Amino acid sequence: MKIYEYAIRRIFLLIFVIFGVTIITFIFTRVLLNPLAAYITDKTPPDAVIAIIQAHGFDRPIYEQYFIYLKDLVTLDWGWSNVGHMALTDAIRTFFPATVELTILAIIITVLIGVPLGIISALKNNKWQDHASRIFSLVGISIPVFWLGLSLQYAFTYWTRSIGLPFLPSTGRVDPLLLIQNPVQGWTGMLMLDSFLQGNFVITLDVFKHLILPAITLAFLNVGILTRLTRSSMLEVIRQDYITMAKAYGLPRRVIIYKYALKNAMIPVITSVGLIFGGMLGGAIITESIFSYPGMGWLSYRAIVFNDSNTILAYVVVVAIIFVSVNLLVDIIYAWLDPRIKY
Amino acid sequence: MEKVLEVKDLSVQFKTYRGIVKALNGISFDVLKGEMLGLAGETGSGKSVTSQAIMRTLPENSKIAGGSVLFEGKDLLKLTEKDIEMVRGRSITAVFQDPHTYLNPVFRIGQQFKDILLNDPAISSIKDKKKREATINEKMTQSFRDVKMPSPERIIRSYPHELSGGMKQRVLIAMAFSLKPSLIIADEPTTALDVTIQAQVLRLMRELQKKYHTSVVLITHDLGVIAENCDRIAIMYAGRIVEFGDVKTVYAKPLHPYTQGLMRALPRADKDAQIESIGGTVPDLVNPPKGCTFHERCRNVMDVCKTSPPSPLFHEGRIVECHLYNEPLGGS
Ligand SMILES: Nc1ncnc2c1ncn2[C@@H]1O[C@H](COP(=O)(O)OP(=O)(O)OP(=O)(O)O)[C@@H](O)[C@H]1O
Ligand SMILES: [Mg+2]
Repeated sequence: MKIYEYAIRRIFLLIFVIFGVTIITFIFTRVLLNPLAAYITDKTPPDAVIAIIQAHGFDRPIYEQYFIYLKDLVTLDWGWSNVGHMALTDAIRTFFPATVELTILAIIITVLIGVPLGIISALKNNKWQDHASRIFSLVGISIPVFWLGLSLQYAFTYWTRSIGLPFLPSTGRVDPLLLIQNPVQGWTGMLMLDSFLQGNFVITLDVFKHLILPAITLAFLNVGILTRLTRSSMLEVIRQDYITMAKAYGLPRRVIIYKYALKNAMIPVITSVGLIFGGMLGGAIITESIFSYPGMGWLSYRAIVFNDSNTILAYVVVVAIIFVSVNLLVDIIYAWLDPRIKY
Repeated sequence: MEKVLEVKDLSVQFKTYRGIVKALNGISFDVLKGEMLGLAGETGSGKSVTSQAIMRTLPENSKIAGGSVLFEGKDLLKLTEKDIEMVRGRSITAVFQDPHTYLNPVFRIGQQFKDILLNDPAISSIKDKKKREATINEKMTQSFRDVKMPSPERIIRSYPHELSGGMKQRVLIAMAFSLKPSLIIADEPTTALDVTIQAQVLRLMRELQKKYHTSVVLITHDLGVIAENCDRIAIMYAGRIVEFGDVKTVYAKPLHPYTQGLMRALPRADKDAQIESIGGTVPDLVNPPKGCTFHERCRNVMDVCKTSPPSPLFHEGRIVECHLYNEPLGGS
């Protein structure tokens, strides 16, 4: 079987998973909560409410309602987001790219630090480098995210500013005044990418500055996890017979480690990078809240605080889609890396 | 005859949580040019450790406690890591027990073979990429033909899991002989294979060994295999070589009680004699018994065996390590 056939079959399966998720969210909106809440606000005139009830079939039998609900989902008629002050699909279109931007930076930091550190740790097993990296990972895993976020804000915003050093912004995504002076067209919604593509480097730099602290906060825990995982995976592989054999056949150490061992060791690492990536994309609720970073995590945090059930359920659907897609991607990479996998 | 390898008084120990495992306790033997030397002994007697010590592929918790391994006038144990890399693959190489685990699962056979061939300065020094690839391809095809593999082109493109055990072992043998090393250490090269394929693979090794005049150390449990293929035999017990000589001499009249025990344990067609196993178990190498390490299981044990270890002596055309041949029988 070819790899694209496998991909197609997986996408087919993916549809079923999302189906399952929508059944759950449907039960929430239509059975447990007030379905109308999604489509009306305080200012909706009463006669318009009747029209909305009919348009979305709230007066129909429940099984019919499910299909209407699916149709609404597919046609992107998701209703209103109270905390986003806009239609939900618009809210997602606005907030999701911000999260994507943050996630990409955070995952780059995670991989660039975690993987090399794990490799060094494995190659210097039980030497001081290993112990140092172990302590570093343990600290990373143990530090509460909110504490790290607040500490970074304190150190790199308030403290550096108080002694007159250049400082990093502690909240937001971009300096709004700067954005007014240097407007950026929303092509992808990712401000850093859009401004860069449009040659608006002032904004690119400003967005980057805003991203540094939240990205580090988001990455820190995962760096620890990934370091440990890479280390154990590498140690496992180095003990394998085919490494002994490569040695016995005189391959240089460089080739053995960075080609023969690494490709094998990366297989489980890539799986967990995928899962970490998916988790971050779902929105880092704590990190985004601390830094008031307007992404999916921040939006859902506010939705929870302000009891905006429609936004929360939409968020659930989005996260489900992200997770199954990332999983699919990981499986495809996996199959491509490891020829033993039968699809 | 010219000696290819000379192991002198080699001792290897492992640090474990139970204490120091004295895996090799001063073994000496040599390998002659173009010969096949059989290394036999029960499990745990130190056969694989011997091979790992020669190749310098011992694990990290090990320590060479003494001795030397002379190869082409150099002591391999004293070479730097860089220098031993130059010896491995080109001059000494290995064929391993389980072909299923010794090929890298995520690279094609051709890729792995190519990396081995690139060890050869004659190949890696070819500047022109096209010419180099062509040379490598030609070499691979030639090597696969040597081991009688059908359709080398297909094998080159295969991943290890797409080949059968016997094919994989042929691939490993082809790889081992490809750089024409002077010594190949084969650690139970057929144990993991089907009985029918075992004989084929051994015959193949024998043929190639004759063709390229390679010396082979064949490690095995199977004394029958040694009788069929080897020129000389070394019997190991608890980290010592207890008997070492020509296959014909040793098989005709084994001297060491342990060798005799092994021979009695062989199934024989010509006699109805029962197969006997050697009683007792292999000694603990953390706390080896005093005196001769075999005395607890020995039929001919004498008082001296319990207190002083025997030293190697030349007797009836071979080297044997046993007090029986030190003094008159039954004396003490
Ligand atoms: N990495 C290690 N750590 C500790 N002890 C070891 C290690 N490798 C081997 N040993 C010990 O060294 C001794 C010799 O082992 P070796 O593997 O050479 O036996 P062998 O003769 O090859 O046996 P087999 O026929 O089962 O392959 C054994 O007692 C074994 O427990
Ligand atoms: Mg062994």
